Amino acid sequence: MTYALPLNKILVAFSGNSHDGCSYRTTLLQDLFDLDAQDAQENILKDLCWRTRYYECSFDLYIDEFEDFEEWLTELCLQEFDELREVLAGIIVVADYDPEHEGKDIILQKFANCLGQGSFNVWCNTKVISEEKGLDANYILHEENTEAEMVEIQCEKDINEYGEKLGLKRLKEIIDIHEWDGVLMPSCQIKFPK
Amino acid sequence: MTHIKYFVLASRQGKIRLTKWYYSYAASEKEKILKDLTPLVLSRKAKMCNIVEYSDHKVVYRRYASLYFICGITPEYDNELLTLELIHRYVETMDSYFGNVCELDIIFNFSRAYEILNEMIMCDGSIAESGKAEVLQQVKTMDTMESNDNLDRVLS
Repeated sequence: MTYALPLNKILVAFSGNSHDGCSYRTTLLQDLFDLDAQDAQENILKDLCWRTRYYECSFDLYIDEFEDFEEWLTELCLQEFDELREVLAGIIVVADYDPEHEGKDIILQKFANCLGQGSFNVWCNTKVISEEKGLDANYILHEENTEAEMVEIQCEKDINEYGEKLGLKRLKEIIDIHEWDGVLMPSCQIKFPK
Repeated sequence: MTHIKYFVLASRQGKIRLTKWYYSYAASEKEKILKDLTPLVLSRKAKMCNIVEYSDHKVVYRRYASLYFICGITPEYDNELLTLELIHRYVETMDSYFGNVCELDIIFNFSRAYEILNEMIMCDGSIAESGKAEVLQQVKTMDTMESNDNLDRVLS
């Protein structure tokens, strides 16, 4: 008999090579997951709680750093990491995206497909690029996997022309709307707005 | 007279959050429409037209934040621009009800999203009510009745 493990782990990987990938580590982990500065330096954090106004759920956070993104991604896609990938609710990569890179399409496609359906793949781009280039990257990701997305961390605007949240707020929204396993409704009843 | 065929709400991630059929489609046809429409609409760029021809009818869509509101219309009877206005009015009404509505509100209060839509569009696809205040009033009345019902149940 096989038992399906709950998809309640988030893998966050920071680029140690990019000009500012790792400098985001503390601030992003603190802002996104409400960790303190000490916890933000840990590599595995268990039984954290993700809360929204409708539900709360428990999750584990795995934090990693890499020097070469392509190499790291290739390694993650290896068969020996099947078990890890199978329990990931999502993956967040914090790294520079270079729209001029020759193999950018292949990297984006590989990133979009690194996890199966039902998991979110978010690339937090730390490099300032034009809106058009960001959109192009998102189209490539989206063609491969509708749940893959690029979020601009250094975005000056809070919302785009559609009223969609940008940057860290969008990342929070992606985690909010993820179909978590073992969700708890704090009040056992949905509260309707007055 | 409008003859809307269906109303679909899809997220940017391609997940269907709401579907309402006003035309008698077979289950396989519904499945095909949903399977075709989501990538068709989601792959369209910002500057592209919000009206697309699909199969034997037209599809009018509008994006709000990370949500795509998609409406299948009968070209002979429906006006595309009026449909766009109807979608906008629906979003405005939900915005007023939820207070800056987001995808999470719709996921966890989908029955309210359906009720608001039901107040606006009748089961044959024609517009029942376009007044935001009137729709909100009806939905709030339903909320009050439901609360009273729950209270009665607890007290009894």
